[in-house]
Amino acid sequence: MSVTLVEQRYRSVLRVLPAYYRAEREDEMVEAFLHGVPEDVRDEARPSTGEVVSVLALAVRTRLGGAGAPARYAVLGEAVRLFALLGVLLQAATVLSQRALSLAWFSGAATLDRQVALGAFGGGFVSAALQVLAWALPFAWAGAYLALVRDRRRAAARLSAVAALPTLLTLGYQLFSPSYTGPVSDLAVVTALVCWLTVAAVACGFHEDAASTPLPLVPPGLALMGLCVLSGAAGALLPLSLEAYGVSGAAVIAVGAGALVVRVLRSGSSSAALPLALAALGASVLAVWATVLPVASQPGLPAAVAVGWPAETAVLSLLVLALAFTGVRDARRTLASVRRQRGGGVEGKIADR
Amino acid sequence: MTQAAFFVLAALVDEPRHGYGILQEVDALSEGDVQLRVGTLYGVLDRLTADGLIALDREEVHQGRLRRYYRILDAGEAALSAEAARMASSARTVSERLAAPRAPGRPGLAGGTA
Repeated sequence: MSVTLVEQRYRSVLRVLPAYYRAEREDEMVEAFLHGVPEDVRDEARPSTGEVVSVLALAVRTRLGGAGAPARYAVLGEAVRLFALLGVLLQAATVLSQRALSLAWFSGAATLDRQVALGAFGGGFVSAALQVLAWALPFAWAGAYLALVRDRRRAAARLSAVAALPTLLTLGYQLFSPSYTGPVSDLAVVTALVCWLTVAAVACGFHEDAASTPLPLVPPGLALMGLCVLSGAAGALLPLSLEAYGVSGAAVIAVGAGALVVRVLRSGSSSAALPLALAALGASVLAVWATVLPVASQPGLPAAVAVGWPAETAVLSLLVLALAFTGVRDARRTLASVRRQRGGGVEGKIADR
Repeated sequence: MTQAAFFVLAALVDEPRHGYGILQEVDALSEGDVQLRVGTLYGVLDRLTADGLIALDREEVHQGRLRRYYRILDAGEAALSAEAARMASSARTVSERLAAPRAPGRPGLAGGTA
């Protein structure tokens, strides 16, 4: 039987699926798909958008620990979900503590300072409305965190997208507003990327078929409260630290170091997902910091910037490397253990068949 | 249980079916309300298989192409039956509420109050 154009096109679409899944399902899916395409149009038709989207959604599920996925994709799925959960937690803690600090400052500030601060919300109705949105929408990170710990997946994805919207407003303003004359800032670009990466991790990692992923080690409420205190303290006590930019690095350092200590104390088998997720989270903080770090090399700056910023960056970099190393090593051990249990069988058969 | 999983299980009650056969049967059973895409169908089949509700029945080669037939298991029938009973109970409750006599003079949605 000759291969028609529509079959070629459908098989190209199926390449987004992981190899283990294609080996098991590709021919069967092609058969089911072609059955629904009239023979007289098979050399000109294309798979509909709906069919392509359904395969893309299946690709996300199968790569991120869907039903019966092999161990490597199960670990990857758990790592993405933990990255999403911790990322949303960190964003929530950062925004709550930053807004609380700014309100505390505002309530005790001199009248002139207050007028200057409120001046940022001026410049016409549209500008003021955008400023208010940029100030208020990130509170949705806290709602997204609440939704995630209650396993309300769609609500969490929507709320985190709402919370990340101001990053696009900032970029849009820098790109298109005639009143902004400078170049688009690297900080705005990287912050937007990190926020939307978190949104994507929530939307994709917590797909319908994903296992529930609770916050490890501590109750979710305590974690949010603790990180708010930590993030707020870092912002209040270290006003010249890198904490002022994006998400709180001090919190990542504390949680990452804590996770490593727990990993060392529990020397037995351990999930690779947590260190991998924390390494990715630390790397995202480093990416934000890297955009402002060149400032530290300018002459005449206080020691808190000239020495403090590179030192803080170095500590976080070392921690990210240690977490990544631990995560990869644990993942390899997990996969080797699965292979041994299967008696050297081919990893990747869809389970329970 | 999702609506798609409900109709896929229902499609397998009378006989084992292959992928396209399930798509057609779901379309017919739902009177066109549920039109599954192939990618969605296989996501549902993966979940139902992993949960022990359906199983592979047999494989056939038809015009040079692979067809896998799936059959519903006892656990699948039990889950489908429980879900159908739950839906019927909900529908009955709503029907009884609609059929019950209403208090006279109660303002309707369109009327409002002065």
